[in-house]
Amino acid sequence: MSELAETQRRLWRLLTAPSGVRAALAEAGDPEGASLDGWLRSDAAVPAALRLEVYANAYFQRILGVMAEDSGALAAALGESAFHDLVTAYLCVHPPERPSLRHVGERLADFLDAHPAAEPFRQRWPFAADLARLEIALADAFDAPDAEALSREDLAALPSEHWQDLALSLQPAARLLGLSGPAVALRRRFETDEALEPEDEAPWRATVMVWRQREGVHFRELELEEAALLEAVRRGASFGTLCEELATRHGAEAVPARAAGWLATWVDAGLLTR
Amino acid sequence: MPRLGDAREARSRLPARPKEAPFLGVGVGLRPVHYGDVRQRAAEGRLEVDWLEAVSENYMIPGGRPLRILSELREDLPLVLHGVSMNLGSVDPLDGDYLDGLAALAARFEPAWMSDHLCWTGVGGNNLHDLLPLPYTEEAVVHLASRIARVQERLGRRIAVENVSSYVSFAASAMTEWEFLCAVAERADCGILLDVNNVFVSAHNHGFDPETYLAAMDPSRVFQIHLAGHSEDGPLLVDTHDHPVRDEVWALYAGLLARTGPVSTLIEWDGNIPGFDRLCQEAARARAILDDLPRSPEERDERAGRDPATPLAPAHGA
Repeated sequence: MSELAETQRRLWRLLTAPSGVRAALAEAGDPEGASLDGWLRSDAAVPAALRLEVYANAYFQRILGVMAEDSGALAAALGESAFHDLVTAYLCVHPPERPSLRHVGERLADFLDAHPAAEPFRQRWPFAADLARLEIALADAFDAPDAEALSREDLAALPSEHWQDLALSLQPAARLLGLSGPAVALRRRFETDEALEPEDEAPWRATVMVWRQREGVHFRELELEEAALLEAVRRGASFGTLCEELATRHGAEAVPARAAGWLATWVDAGLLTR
Repeated sequence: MPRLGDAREARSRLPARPKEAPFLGVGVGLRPVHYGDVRQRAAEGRLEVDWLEAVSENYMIPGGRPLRILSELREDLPLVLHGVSMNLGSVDPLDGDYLDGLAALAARFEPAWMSDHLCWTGVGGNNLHDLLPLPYTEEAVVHLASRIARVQERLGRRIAVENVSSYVSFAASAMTEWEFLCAVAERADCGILLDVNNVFVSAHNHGFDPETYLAAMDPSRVFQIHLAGHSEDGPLLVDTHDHPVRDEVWALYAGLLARTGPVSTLIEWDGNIPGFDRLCQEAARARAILDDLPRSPEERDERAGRDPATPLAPAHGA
């Protein structure tokens, strides 16, 4: 291995040690940092280990700051100390790989869902993985690809014989998520500055739509019918197929009003694309 | 009677700015917290800065508000794209996808130039999202110069590399930081983004003279200057970009410009970010120094009380 490669790998190990540089040296039987002599320049006023701590602290604090911002409700619900511990555990398993800090927490929900190191967090905050999932979807929606929204005027201009085969498509930012109800409620309360205590009632499930409209990112819970219809749209169903689904649920005579109602709701939210 | 040699010497003292780096005046780093203010001021024609620098990675995204705002601002203002994840000094392979993304961004926004740092940011496929120091060795010079040359080839343009603040130095270093920076820039044939605050911070942390560092810069390679604030962490200075530019850094900046002539200058502020007004005040201070520069080499020599026939300091002093 070249000297440069060895230098970088050695620095990487020291700077990302979960308990800090000096603790990592102590754990390796070198509490005074003598192993750094001859590698790093040092002086009495500022020993090499202290100099390395500047980088190690910056690494952790920078990522903690980004994740606390991107996962605002989760950070608030866990509290400063537990969120700090969560980020430490997460970074040991998923150190950042992508060029932008924007993606640093992208595996947090999966980590909370399944990784053994996340067990204490799962036990105490069973909604944590779903709250992370919702907040990741909100961040993803913010910079998802742009698309031109389908308007009421577009629909008004559509000849009646084309309605049956009208292909509906969700905007690229849209996500349909099945989530724990308390996670959804926590995020809602976080956005409205309400107290964040999780509810005591039995866990419940919610289907949530995340989308972007006029550059703002939104989410809302869906009724069962709307969730089923939007899931069908996501899979590529035409307007005619949605009408058949509505006819099964409510009878043929109810279809025009209900279908028009859902379509208007989605178009007004900018959820469908041209 | 002046000899022919004297005339050539006088011409060579003019800043031979590469055409990739025109003088843009004074700019600020664009931060999301200022989007609203910047757009409003730009629309009202009272922006008070000449150009913007955007962090490349913040715009290497599929869509949404940041890209739309940058497009809007780009219609009225010159732009420089400044990256933080090119990982030039790493022993990892260059990230082809990243460079493709950067090339696409450049094609869309047509920046005046692009820059990144003379450092490494990750190894083994991991990214520390920090600007990590290199040993100043021949091995590192060769490594960096070859990677910068490949990046320039891929992007089809000369880039500028920025000196970083550092807190550790390596026993293996065989040259000073300024010798290292000049050697890399010369061999890669790239520009330099000279961060005067970083020079000051590293000079304090490693005990060298910042003026010696700045005097060693070849003016023709300096595309741009960065100015920012720093903070103290015990005996060390840390490049936190969360304070106004210190008076000592302003003095170094003025001294540098007196030697190089006007160089595009940018104010960075990334922590405890104040209102855009405060950034404009910093920009105005830089502009006052730029405006006070001599208009010609003759005026410069006259102010310095220098005999015009005396050559200036060599470009690559140690």
